[in-house]
Amino acid sequence: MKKALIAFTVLMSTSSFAAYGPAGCGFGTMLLGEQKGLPMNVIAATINGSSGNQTFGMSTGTLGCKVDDSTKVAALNFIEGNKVALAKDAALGKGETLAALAKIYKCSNVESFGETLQGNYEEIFMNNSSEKIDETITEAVISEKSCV
Amino acid sequence: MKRLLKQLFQKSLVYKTSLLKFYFYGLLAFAGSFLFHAHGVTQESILEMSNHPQWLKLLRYQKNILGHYHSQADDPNFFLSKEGKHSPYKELKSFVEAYEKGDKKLCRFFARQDFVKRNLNLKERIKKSDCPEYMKFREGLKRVEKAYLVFSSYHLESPASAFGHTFLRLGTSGNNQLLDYGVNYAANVTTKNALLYAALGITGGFTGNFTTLPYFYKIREYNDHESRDIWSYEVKLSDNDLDLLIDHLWEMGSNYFDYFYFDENCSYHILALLDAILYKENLIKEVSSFVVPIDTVKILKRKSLIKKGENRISARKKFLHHWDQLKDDEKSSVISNIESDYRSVAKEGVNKESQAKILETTISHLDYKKSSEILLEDKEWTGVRRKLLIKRAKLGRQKTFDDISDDEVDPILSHDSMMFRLSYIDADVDFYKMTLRTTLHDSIDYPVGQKEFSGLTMGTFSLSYREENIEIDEVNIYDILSLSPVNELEFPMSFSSSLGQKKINIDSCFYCSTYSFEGYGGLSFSHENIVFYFLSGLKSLYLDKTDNRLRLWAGVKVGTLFQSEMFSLRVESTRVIREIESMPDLFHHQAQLSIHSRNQFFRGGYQYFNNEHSLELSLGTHF
Repeated sequence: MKKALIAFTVLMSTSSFAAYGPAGCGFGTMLLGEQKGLPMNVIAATINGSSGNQTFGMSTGTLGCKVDDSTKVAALNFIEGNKVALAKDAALGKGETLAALAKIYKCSNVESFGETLQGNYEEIFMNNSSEKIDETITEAVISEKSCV
Repeated sequence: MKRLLKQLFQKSLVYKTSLLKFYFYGLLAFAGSFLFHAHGVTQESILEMSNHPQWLKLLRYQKNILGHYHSQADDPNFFLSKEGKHSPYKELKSFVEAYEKGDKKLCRFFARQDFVKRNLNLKERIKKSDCPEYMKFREGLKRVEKAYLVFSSYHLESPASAFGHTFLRLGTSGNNQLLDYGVNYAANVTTKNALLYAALGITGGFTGNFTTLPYFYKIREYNDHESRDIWSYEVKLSDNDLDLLIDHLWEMGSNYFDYFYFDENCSYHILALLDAILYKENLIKEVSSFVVPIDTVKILKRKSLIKKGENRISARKKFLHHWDQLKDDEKSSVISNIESDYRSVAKEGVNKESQAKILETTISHLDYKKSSEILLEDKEWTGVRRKLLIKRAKLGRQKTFDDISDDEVDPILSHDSMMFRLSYIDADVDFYKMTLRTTLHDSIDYPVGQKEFSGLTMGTFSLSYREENIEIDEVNIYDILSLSPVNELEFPMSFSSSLGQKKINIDSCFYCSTYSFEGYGGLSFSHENIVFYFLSGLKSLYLDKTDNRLRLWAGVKVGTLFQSEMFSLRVESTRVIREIESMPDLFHHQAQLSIHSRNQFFRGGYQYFNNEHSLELSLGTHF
């Protein structure tokens, strides 16, 4: 645990992780990543730390990902970083993470968006992959016309 | 004669050369001055503006005791002039020259550009739109409307954040914190060794830098993972100031500072960031040599620069918020769920609303107790949680719990961080004592805004005046008491520990200097604002005047602590069993009463140690 926390501190203070794809973004992966070998991460941190204004590579809400403002990338990053809280709010059918995700998807009907996530809960959160979660949410929202 | 003529000739040549040099440099200076003057900038105005407080603050210049400037920034690329770190004037001169040339290097420095435009009346040379990296950065923050100073509360379990932490939140439109941005300053920790960490952290062995990241990472880290409250205070900034703050953040991008745990720490640099924007307030001048995070929030409060604090409660408090709203039978169901390691389900026969309440409370408890496993996506616990969530989802929308009320006590209402106390001690020899404590709070201090039933002090120094001698009575490095009472659901560990030097009477050695370390752990039980605790542990003691031997003793502590806004009382009894059988056990009983207002207190104490009694009366102040 202590190791994970150190990695967490180190990684939180680094600049960019351009080498990671969207699947490598986010909190859980950052912690898990450490278990595969802290030294590499520390080296990556040092290199990134000296590469100018890269520090702000994360500022568009795309931690660990290449900067891209498309809805999909924003949604993937949000899901990856908030998976635990999102799963809970979806089960309740309401909450802060649903409101934020609806906004990212540009969905104005938060209530119906929440109902759709709650109704399709088992399917959406069948596995932990952010891509799968994003895909299933998108399919459910389209088929139930939740955001119309 | 010839020699004389030669000497005269040489002298006149030297004179002519000097004269030529004088004309040449004079002309150059004149041309230079004309060149600058042509654009409305004179050397005089550069010299004058290089002493402008905002220029000095934007580049973090400080004056040393000899009156010379140096910048705290340690990245050479933070300066345009080679002598920029030590000369605000040369740096401004180089900056203006680069500005006049439209040098693209200045894409990094839009806050500085804003400064020279405003103060030296220069026309815009470099358009923001000509700097693609900068534009990308600003595009990411385009929805930012507000800035908040954020305080994440005390975390006694971790030395690096025992005093809390401050950072910034850039609030976006729409009022959903999950879509905001966080600005953090932290040390780049390069060691896993705790001792090395402490040594390097105190002496500037790490570098520190700013990062901007989605704010939800801060929420997940502090609220969910470490179960800490997060207090946000909106900083009163005009639109222009907010704009300048973001540009200044961009300037800080790759810069780094040597990190000093006590003074140039995270809270210092976050405050320095605001100080560069609100330069007329001179915020940085208000900080003491030991920067305690909450003090930086108090500085802004004193200057009326922040609005009312809003708390985002910890995962533990979220669970308690649910728990407190349950009926007795629902509580029993939650307990049975927890006892089955979250694997059983809510009892049958209860209505849907009640089932939902039971499930939600069980999940909140699991989230708080197994925060690491869940955030690390541990297979077993993620699976257990998923099953509970599926059950909850099947119940559909239910009205379960009231919204979280905003009745938390704001940590800025706490007493000030430093303490000074004068005491009279009635013992075998009466004496007087003067105590200075650098930080922060002991268990019987004014408790408002502090973590309940706890105390953490660092750097306590006492001088005694005894038999017409002034001596060092005590040097305490740290003293910690953390009592987390058990309840129906949890058995958290309570602990105390201290390290320091103190003069005591022991083993026929009177008023002897002793060096001690002790660590105790156990359980505590509370009822409202009174707690009883039972701890056992080890104490090691070293006497330098006798046999130069390290003693290692075992001990037990029993005590009670009552805390209130008017007064606090702590009574404690310790029995120490010594390593040599022939030596009698040591008994240490003490009672301490503090009658206090926020920053003033009167204390009375009684102590029995090793067959001797003493009384202590003191008056003190926090400042």
